[in-house]
Amino acid sequence: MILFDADHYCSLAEPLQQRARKNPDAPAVALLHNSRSARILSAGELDQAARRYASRLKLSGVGAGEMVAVGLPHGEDLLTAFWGIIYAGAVPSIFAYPGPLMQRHAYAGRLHDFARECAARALITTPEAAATMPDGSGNSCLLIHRPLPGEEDNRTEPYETSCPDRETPTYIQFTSGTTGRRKGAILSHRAVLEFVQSTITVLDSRSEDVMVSWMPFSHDFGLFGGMVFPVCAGHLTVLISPHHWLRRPIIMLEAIHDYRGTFCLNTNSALLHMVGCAMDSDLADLNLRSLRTMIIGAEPVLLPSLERFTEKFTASGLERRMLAPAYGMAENTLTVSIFDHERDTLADWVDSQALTTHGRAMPAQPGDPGAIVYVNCGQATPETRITIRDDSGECLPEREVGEIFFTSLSMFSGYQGRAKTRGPASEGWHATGDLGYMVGANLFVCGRKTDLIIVGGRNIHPEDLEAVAPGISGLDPANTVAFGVMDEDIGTESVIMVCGLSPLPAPAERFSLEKALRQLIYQTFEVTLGDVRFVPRKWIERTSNGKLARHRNREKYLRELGRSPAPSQLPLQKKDD
Amino acid sequence: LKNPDYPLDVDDSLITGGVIDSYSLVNIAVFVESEFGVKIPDTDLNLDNMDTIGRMTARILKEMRSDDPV
Repeated sequence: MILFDADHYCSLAEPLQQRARKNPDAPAVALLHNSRSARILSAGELDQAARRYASRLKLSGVGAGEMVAVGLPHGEDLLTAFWGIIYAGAVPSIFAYPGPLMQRHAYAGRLHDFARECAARALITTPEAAATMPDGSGNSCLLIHRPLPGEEDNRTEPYETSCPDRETPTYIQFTSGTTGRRKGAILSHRAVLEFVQSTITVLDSRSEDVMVSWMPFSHDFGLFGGMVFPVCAGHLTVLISPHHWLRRPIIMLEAIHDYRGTFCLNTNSALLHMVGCAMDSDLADLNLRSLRTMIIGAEPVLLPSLERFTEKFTASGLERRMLAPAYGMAENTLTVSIFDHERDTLADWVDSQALTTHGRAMPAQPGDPGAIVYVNCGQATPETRITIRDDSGECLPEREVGEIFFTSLSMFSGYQGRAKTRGPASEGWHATGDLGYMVGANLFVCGRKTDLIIVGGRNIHPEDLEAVAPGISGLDPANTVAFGVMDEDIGTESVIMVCGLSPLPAPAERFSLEKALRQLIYQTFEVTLGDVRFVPRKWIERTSNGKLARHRNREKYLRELGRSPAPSQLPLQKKDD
Repeated sequence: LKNPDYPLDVDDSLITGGVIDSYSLVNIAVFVESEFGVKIPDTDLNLDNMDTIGRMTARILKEMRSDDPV
């Protein structure tokens, strides 16, 4: 296993700088774009590029400790900008860049709002986005794009390494959501370095290991799992553009074949996208036998998805033991727990009746009436501790369902711009908002305390969706409700909106309202609705204090379709209704 | 979108109209490839070419014609 001591470093820049000194010519990053050819950067080249970028940032007026918002497409420029900002001692935060199947016209405005909201000192983007950026009145943010200062005449300031306080921020990971609902988890140098050390231990990482990732850097899974971890640990990482992966997801498996990939990252829905798009001709020579661990996370992991994926690619050498469901979040840099096939059992069948009535996950046999299955998210990563607690904060015994809490060395330091009380909970524990139970040291995630919707790893707040209703004449904003319904066919949640109207409009008018709602929701949030229903106003369920009871509306919606809630959406927690 | 009665015109925006998501559009491209033997180049799988049924059909037909022997 690789030796990596987080305490040995004072900044996140140091592991790359050390790697470049010791082994400058070894490939560090392979950037795959539209074919099987790649742009390969050695550790030395990446280090030099980061040094140049850092010195040009200095010429631009960006200082250590200042926050820099980044809106660049996936590729070398984004990679260099990230490390350049880290080398400069500044604090990056990456904002998702739209792909060819997404609308671009609104991007500059959204990026501008993001930079302003997080009080960024500078905003780095493409010349095209910069040209359409709204007027910066009231915004003291520096707008930086290629060519950078000194780039055309090759002018540089000498780069000087610095040794910041390890507890100072090195990155801010924002969750999605509209202004005010977006939360920026502050990660210190120490937290990210501890994450790297812990991941090396968990994966039994060796110098010849190769990571393959298609996940975007705007997501913690893609940034820390797919890029920062392998770069710091000394691995080669093969990075695929997320938009190219979307179009041809098999490219990820081809990259495992071509580069003898040992680690890779996926979401549950990504597995099914690969299954759906792989043609027989793609599989002819595919060899996945080099793979050791495919980490699957960012959304609930479902047993049928793992089975379909394994079945599809078994002939190519994929084995179920390679699949490692995981649980994590930005508040712990990335991973909280991860499955290990040598140690853990993948599935836990439980009695749904005992679960919903008593909050107890009592073992059942597959095929028993009411038996449902949860996938094992494994044991806590090193230096992370997990507890399950009831509403009063008391720790619960094995197989009792409660809220998942964790504490660790790679934990965030708080949310940007919010009072400390909104950060890690008392006594250093973080309340995740997710529901789960333990069996021995193994964590099973079985629901969510909040109404948050997660689609393919992206968090969507139903309140945001409901708030567009006043923009459509004919809808009743007080009786428009949004919720997520787990759809096993696509392996993720489908976003549903139910509109209460009395009297119920004629079919033609309903369709024109649906059209207007779908369009407005997409243009505002880039969310595609799975279904829109129109019901009489009194259909809508409310809590005792008059608020929309989203989970009860979801249960009613499913009941009318003759469907049962998915295991991850059973009513487990008593709520104010 | 799972409602077969949804009134969809050839000029209605699919992606930007919030009717289907980008994963579904890719699935349509995969279907076209396996059913008609027509591969839309990756660079052409964008909103300009694929956001309505009309534009999508025109793009597929163009590709089919270019495959015909002259």
